Amino acid sequence: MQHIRIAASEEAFQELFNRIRDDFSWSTSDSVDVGPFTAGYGVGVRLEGGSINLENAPDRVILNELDVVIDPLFLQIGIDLPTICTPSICLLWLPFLGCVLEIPSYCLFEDDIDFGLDLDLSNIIEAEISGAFNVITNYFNNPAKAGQSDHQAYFSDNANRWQFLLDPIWLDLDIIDIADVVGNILDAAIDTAIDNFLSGAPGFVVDLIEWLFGGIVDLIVGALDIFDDIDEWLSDLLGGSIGLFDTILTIVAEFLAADNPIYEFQDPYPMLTSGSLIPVLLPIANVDVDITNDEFLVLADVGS
Amino acid sequence: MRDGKLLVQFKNEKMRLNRNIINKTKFDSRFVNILACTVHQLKEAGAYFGTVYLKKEIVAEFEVLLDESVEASQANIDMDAVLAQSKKSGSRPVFQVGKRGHVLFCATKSNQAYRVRLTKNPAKKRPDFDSKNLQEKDLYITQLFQPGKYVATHSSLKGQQLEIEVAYPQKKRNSRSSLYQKKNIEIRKDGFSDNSINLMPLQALVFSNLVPGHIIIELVEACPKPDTAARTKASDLIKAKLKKRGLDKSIRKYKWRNPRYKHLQENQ
Repeated sequence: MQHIRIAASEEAFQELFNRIRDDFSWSTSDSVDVGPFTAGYGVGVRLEGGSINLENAPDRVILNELDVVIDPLFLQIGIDLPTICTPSICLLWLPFLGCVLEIPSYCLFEDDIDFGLDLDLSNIIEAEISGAFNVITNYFNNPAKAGQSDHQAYFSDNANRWQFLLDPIWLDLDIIDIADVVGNILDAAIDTAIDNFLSGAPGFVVDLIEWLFGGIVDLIVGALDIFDDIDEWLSDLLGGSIGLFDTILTIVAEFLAADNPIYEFQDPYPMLTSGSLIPVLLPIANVDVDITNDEFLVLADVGS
Repeated sequence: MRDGKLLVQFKNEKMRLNRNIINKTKFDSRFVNILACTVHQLKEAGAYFGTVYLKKEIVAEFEVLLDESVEASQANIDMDAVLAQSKKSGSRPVFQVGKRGHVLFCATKSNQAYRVRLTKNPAKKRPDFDSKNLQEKDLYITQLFQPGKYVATHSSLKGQQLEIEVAYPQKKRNSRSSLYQKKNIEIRKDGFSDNSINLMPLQALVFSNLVPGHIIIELVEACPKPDTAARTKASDLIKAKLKKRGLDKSIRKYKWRNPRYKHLQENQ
C-alpha cells in the first residue's frame, strides 16, 4: 500500500483542466496557392468551455465540447482573371467557306485582372474539440537546480518536480456551424473589389460587362470555385487547402501532452512550511496515477 | 500576425481599364483607330507597301503579300502593333492574305488618328488605298460602345443625317445574340439608306457603297443608367445554384490519432 494518496474529485480535475485551457493561445499567418486563386490568412485560436469526465477501466480522461474560438481570422484572396475582351464579329459569311471577314476583338483591360478580396471571418466558425486522454507521469529534472542542495533549490524555486500530463489518445474537431453572415461578408468584399477595380469608370461600363460576359460576380464566383454553398467552400478552403483544422488539432495535442502538466508538485515535497523553521523536505518515489469514475488519484511512496 | 495585419502582401494594383474604349464617342472615317476599322479588298497578287501616318508624319511601314496559295481570307493590320514593332526593332512587319484579298485596318488599343496608305507601286502618285479617301468598294465599320443617341453625317451629303440609338444593355431584357447581327448602311447620292437605326453596344455598323468624302459619327446625348440595374450578389447566386442541386449543409469532422495508441480500438 502506498504511503501517500492525493485525490482530486472530477470537479477539482475540471478546475485543473480549466487553468491549462486558459493558458492556450496560438496564432499564425501564411499563404497558399489554391490553383485558380491564392489565399493568405492570419489566424488566432483560443479555447473555452469543455467538460471533463473521468472513466475507470480503462482509465481515461474524457473531454467533451471544448470550444475552439477562431478569432481573429483574416483571409486575403487573390484571383487572377483573364482580361475581358469583346467578341469577334463576322462581317461576311460564305457557304462552304464559313466566315471570311470578321472584326477583331478589343480588350477592355490592358492586362490580366487581379482581384483582391479581404475577408474578416473572426468569430464566425463554431467548432468543438472532444477527445480521450491518458494521464502520464513525468519526472522533471530542473536544470536550474544543478549544484544546489534540496533546500537551496526549494528556496530559489528550482526544485525538481513530479508532473502529470494529459496524453491525448484521440482528438476530434467538429465544425458545428459557420455563421450565415459569411455570405454577407463575401458579398461586401466582392463589391469593394469590383468598385476598386472599376474606380472612376462610368456606371454603364459595369452593366455592359455584365451584359456581355454574364457578370463580374459570376466570374469571381467561378474563379473561387464556389459551386456548393459558401460554408462548404470556406470549410474546404480552411480545412483542406490551408489545413487549418488539422493544424489546430496537432497544436492542441502538443500543448497538452508536452508543455503543460495538469498537475505537478515538487520533489522533495516541502512539509511544515509555516513557522520559523526551515521546511522538512520529503522525497517522493514510485509515483503512479489511478482514475476512477469519481476521482483522479496520485499514489506515491516516501523515498529514501 | 502583427497588430492584426497579415504578414502576406498581395499585389493589389488598380486595373488599367482601356479608357480609349469607354470614352470613345466620336468617329471619323478618315482615320483608323479604336472601335473603327476599314476594309479594303486587294485585287492583284503581289506585294503592297503600306505607310502609317500620325499627324502627317510617317511613323511606321509594313508590307502585305497577296498570295493565292495562302488560305487566309483576311489580313488584320493593327496600327498599334505595327507602330510598336517599328519602335522596338525598326523592322517592317509583313502580312499575308489569300485570294479574297481582304485587308482590315484597325487599332485595338489606342484612339490615335492613324492614316494608312497602301500601294503596289511606290512610284505611282495615287496609292491603291488611302484611309482618308475611301472608295466605293471599301467598308467603314464602327462599334459604338457608350449607350445614347448618336448622329452620323457625310461631308458630301449636306443636310442629311443618320440617327443612331444605342440602347442601354440590361441583362434580362436584351439578348446578347443581337451583338452578332451587323447593321448595314449604304451611302446614296440622296443620303443614307436609313434615317434612323437602333443598335446594342458594340454591334457592328457597316457603311458601304462609299462616295468621296468622309463620315463623322458623334454622341449627342448619353443614356443615363437606369435605376433598376443592380449588381448581382454572390450569396444569391450561390443559393440559387445550391437550391437547384438540392444539397444539404454537412458538419465537418477532423480527426487526430496518437500513433502511440494505435493498438487501442476506439470507436471514434
